[in-house]
Amino acid sequence: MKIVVVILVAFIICIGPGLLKAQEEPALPQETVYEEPITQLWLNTYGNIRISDRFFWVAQTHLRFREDDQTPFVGQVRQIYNRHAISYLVSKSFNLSLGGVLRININDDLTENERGSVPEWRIWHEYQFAIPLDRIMIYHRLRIEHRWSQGYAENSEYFFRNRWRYMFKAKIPLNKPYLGPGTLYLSPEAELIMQSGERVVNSPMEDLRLHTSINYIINPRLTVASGLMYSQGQELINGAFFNQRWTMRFHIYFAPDLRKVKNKLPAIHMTE
Amino acid sequence: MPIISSAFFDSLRPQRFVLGIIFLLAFPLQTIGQKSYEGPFSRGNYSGFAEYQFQIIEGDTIFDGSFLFKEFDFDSLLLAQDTFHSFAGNFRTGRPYGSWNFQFGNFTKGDEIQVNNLNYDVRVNGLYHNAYGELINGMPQGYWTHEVYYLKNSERKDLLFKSSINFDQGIPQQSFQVKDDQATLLGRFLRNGLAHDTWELYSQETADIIEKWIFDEGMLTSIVLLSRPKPDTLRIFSEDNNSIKEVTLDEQYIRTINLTKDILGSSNEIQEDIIIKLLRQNASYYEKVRDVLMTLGSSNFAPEYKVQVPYQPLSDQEKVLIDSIKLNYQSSFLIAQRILQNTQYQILQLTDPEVDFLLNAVENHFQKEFLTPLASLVVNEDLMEFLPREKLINIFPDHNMAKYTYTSELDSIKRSIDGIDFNQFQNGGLISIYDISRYANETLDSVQKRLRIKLAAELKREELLGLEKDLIQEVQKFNKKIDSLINVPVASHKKELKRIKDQMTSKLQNYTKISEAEQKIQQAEDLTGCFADAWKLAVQIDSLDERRRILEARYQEDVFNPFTSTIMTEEVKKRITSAYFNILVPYLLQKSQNDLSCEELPELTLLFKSAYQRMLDLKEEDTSKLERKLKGEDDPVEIIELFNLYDIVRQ
Repeated sequence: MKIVVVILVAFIICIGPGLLKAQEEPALPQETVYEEPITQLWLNTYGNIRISDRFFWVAQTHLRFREDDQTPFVGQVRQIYNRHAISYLVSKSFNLSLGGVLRININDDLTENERGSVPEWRIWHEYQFAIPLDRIMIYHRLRIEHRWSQGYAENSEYFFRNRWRYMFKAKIPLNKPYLGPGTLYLSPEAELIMQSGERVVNSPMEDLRLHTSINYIINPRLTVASGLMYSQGQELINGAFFNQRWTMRFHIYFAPDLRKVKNKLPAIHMTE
Repeated sequence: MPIISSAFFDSLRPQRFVLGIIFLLAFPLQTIGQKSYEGPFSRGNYSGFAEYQFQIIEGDTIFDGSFLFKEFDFDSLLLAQDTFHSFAGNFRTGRPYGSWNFQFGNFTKGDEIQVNNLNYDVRVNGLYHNAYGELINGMPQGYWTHEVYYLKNSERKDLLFKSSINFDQGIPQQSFQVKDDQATLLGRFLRNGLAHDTWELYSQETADIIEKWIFDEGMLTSIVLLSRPKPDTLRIFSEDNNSIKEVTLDEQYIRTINLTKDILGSSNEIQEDIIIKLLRQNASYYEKVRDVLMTLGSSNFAPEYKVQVPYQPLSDQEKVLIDSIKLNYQSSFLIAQRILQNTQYQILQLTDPEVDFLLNAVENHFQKEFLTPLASLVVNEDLMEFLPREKLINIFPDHNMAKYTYTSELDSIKRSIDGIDFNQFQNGGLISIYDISRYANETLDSVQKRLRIKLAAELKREELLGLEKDLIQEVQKFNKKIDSLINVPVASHKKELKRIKDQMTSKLQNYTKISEAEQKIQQAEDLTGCFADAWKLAVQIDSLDERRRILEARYQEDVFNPFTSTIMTEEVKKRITSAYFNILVPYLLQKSQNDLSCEELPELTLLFKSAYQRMLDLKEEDTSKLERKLKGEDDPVEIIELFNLYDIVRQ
């Protein structure tokens, strides 16, 4: 628990200055403007491949759809995600990850001199705490991303931002007392994504995501989920404008164990 | 007068000189070769201390001269009792000659002990037999007396017996007297030793004549009994047309008298004839002395009391008949003995009325009416020539051996064996005796056969009972145990267990329907084992749930789920477990529900057991091949094969 407090404090210290930096002020309306919600649909695969007793290869591939004029949710493909990292299992309660992301953004409004898709690069590191409470599990996930994005226009330049993410997640088993094979569980999560950078003038809150999913553990290596997420966040250009999204999410989580059979430990033996 | 003159000496010539020497030596002649011995001595049953004179003739020690042989043991006397004897007399070259005295005693310490002149004087109580008389060449000569007293403190207290007989060279002469504490017998012998005249028996108390034996030239013609309420005269021997033999008045003669009495129907008195008793006693005391003399090398002592008996030699046919009778009797006797001593018959007697009847018949009818009389003939076979053979059949007490009837308490049914009608016997002699003996033998044989059949059936019945007892025990045990399984509230497989119980119940019902004994015995045995096997199967079925829990727990492995950060247990080797739980076990369970024969039970039990065992083992083994083979396999027999269960079963 101590380590949680330390990192939270460090996080706040890091964020603080960014938040306080004042930039040139764009034209601000009198009141916050909430844009019309957009519907999305995400197909995500999350892989957590065990390559040794303590090391995992995080391999995530996400396909994100967005509505278009005719079709809600799946009208168009907007992003293709590839997130990979190496994760280190310190204990059952705490793990660290370090990796990168390649996100392909697909242009929905193709005009001249615009590319159809642009890549976005990130380096990220993550600190996850898992807190068991009798039957439910609670997770605190701190993720810091360093992000290079660019616009669709030809010869756009990359601009750099930092992303500061904190997610609170709970996993609540429904049909069985404990999380295990055959368990259906409810997973509410709330994530606050803050951003900072030169371009971030008055829109520090990039996204607030509220997502609840129903998950089913097929076996310890395979879980499927589906959920609904409501998210809102300030537009980068003008912090008075909040975009809103309703996203249907469909996930597959897979965690194969690539260790040689004879080297497998039945469980991680820790001193706790 | 010059008696001794030179003339006298001159008259002595050398031959007379030698004669004189011999004459002088004649007197001490006896004493020159004679030696004497004093010291420990034992002959026959007697051992003690002896003082005697003897000569060595041709290397042998020959008694010659005085003889004294004593034995006593003071320590024995003080402790308990002492056997005393003292024999004193004279020998002449190995033969008893002169006065002899034989003393025998069985003493215990008396009540008085005195000290006289520093000599301890110990008195004795006990029996004292004193015999004395003259012997010439080992034969009694003159009056011989035997007295038997009871001593009290070495005083003659009670006269138990006294006999006084006059002999001439071993032949009894003239009058004699034999008495004991109850009666006195006075009798007579002729010069040749033949019993003669009337022998009379007087009572000691009343001095009346109780009995008379009348002899005619040695032949006992009649016995007169005067002491009965009704005086009786018994005819004994008669000349009739038989030849006569002279025999000694000995035990054999006494037996002849007794048997003749029985045959002539003259006596059914159990009481022993007193004269005979006295004669026997007398004979025994004379026998004692005779034994002593025999051990000392002289065997002439037997007194020759003579009597005459009618005598009819046995013809060859009669000899053959006697042998046959003997054989029949011995065989009958053995059969009767075996039957009566057989404890199994005795036990059977208590429950089977026919056996009760047969055993009673053997004891009360055959033994009493047939065997005992036949025995008296067979035992006295040597007397046959002296017995009135035409009347032999009279040894059977009931001339008309009636039907033997007996009602057993067990079923109150009267059963009977036909008797023998004696009127059928033409003559009363050996042929009839032979027929009777043969009848007895054959009937006893058939009784034995019948008893044996009964016993065999009983043994079979007992064996069956024993087996059925075990069977019932096993069945009760089984039912109790299986009910305890079925009736538990959370019992598993109730239906299947109930079905097994029903199967066994129907097996038992089929068993009770069997009537044939041999088959039933076999079945009882088999069924007992069957119930035990059925229970084992029930145990296997009952433990299925428990085993399921164990196996399910066993086939779990812990896996860490990085998404939930928790350790989860998941079921491994699902193909194996599903083949076991979903196909194999239901198949075996189904098999147990069909009507199983007793032989199939152990195999099925073993299959259950070995399948479980195999499952326990397979968890840790490398089963990739097996799992591959199990894919899509739903034939239980094939699965059994893959699990290698038949190897265990075949073992």
